[in-house]
Amino acid sequence: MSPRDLRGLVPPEPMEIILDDVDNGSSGQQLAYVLPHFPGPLIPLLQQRKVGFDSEMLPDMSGVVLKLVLP
Amino acid sequence: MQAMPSFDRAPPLSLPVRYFLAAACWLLPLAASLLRTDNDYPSLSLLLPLHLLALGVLGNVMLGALLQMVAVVSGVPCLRPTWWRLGVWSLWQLATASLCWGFYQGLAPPWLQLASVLFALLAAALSGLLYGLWRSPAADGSSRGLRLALGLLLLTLLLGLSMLAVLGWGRPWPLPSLLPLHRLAAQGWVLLLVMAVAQVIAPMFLLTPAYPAWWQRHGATLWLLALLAGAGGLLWQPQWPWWSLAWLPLALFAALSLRLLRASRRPQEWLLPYWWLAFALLALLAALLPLLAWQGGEPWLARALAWCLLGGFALTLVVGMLYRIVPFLLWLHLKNAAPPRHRVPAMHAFVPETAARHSWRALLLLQPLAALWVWQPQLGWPLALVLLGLLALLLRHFAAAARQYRAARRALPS
Repeated sequence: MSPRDLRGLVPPEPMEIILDDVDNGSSGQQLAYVLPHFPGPLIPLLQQRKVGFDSEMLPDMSGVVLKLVLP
Repeated sequence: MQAMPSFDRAPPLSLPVRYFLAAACWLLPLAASLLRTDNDYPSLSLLLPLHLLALGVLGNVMLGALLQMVAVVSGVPCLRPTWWRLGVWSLWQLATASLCWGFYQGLAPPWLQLASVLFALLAAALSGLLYGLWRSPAADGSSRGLRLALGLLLLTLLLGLSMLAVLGWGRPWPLPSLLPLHRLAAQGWVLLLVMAVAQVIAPMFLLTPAYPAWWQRHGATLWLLALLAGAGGLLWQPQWPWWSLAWLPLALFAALSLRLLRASRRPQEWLLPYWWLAFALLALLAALLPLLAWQGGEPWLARALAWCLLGGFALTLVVGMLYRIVPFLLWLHLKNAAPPRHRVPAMHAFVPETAARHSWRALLLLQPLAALWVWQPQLGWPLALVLLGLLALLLRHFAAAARQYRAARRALPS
């Protein structure tokens, strides 16, 4: 699954898209996004929803891949 | 396995907002102090507005933003929010007021002594924050920059404290050596914090390409090494132009940032003109710095350099950041309080774009008036008037945002 690139959007649009996907997703579903930076403010909202997450920096440091696993 | 920073203990909304509000209020004494600048250098009539601007206005916003950033960017949990919201905040305001009142009273020792005690307490509090930041596993360029910036803020405070020990307590330390080091460290702290913030803000809000990977990895260290080399040189051979070592990374940062801004994929973004203005002023500072070699002691050059860095570059960025970060924080805190799937008002419902554009025009108007003040310091009143106008705009816009937030908060399902 290729991650959805949200780098062209202005905050809080990427957060709204990710939270919409999380709220409307199914249990066990995996989601992935490319963001310009590690989304610190999003993390408490993901933890509130018990979503598992992992992140890694792109090799050229142009963004971060955020991987989610829905509960 | 690499440790993961903890992002679940962000500071409460009232913490950064309290610092931001105090910053706006310090514009009032700053405007008043500009009415009595003389044409000497060094001069208390220049030190007074400089410190009101650096500590009162910029220091408050930068400290509020720093406390927010170490939590949401570097994942350092805010463990004692009440201490930072009330204790450190009050110490900062009192220390700034004591120092500036001491300057106003012609270096009155009791006020400088009080300021030195208060700033020493602040330095201890900030050392604790630096320790937490150093232990954070966050390894991105912004977190590295924040660590170094906070370290330099502490160094600036310590050098300032050393000078207060001379002026307030009569210690026999060499003031002429301490002053340029204090100035260099202060310059370093402002630039390092902006470098760290710019790496996050420029790609995120202005949709620019990321800063080059080599700059993200080594920019902050390069700047720090240049400052250290400059400081070492100043101690060794004070008459040589060691400031030129600090010139290269500063000019490089201005050039890199202006190039990125040209490549923004969001030209209609209201924050973009703020950044253009700020980095144009940083480029002007880089262009003026070499004049130190020929015009070292000229009062007009001291006023011009100080304004370009603090009143031009930093104040413009800081006001723009307030218009972006305050509505975002309001939106984020509502989102955190709302149940899943509940729609909260959009960011522009708190502060509309037109409000931010009005304040940008006020900042643009400040620049020629600042040039007038640089040229003729007795003509500081037009600059003071526009600063008061900026204060009125900020208070009006953020009071409206607070009313919107309270209404949206009341509308949340219980």
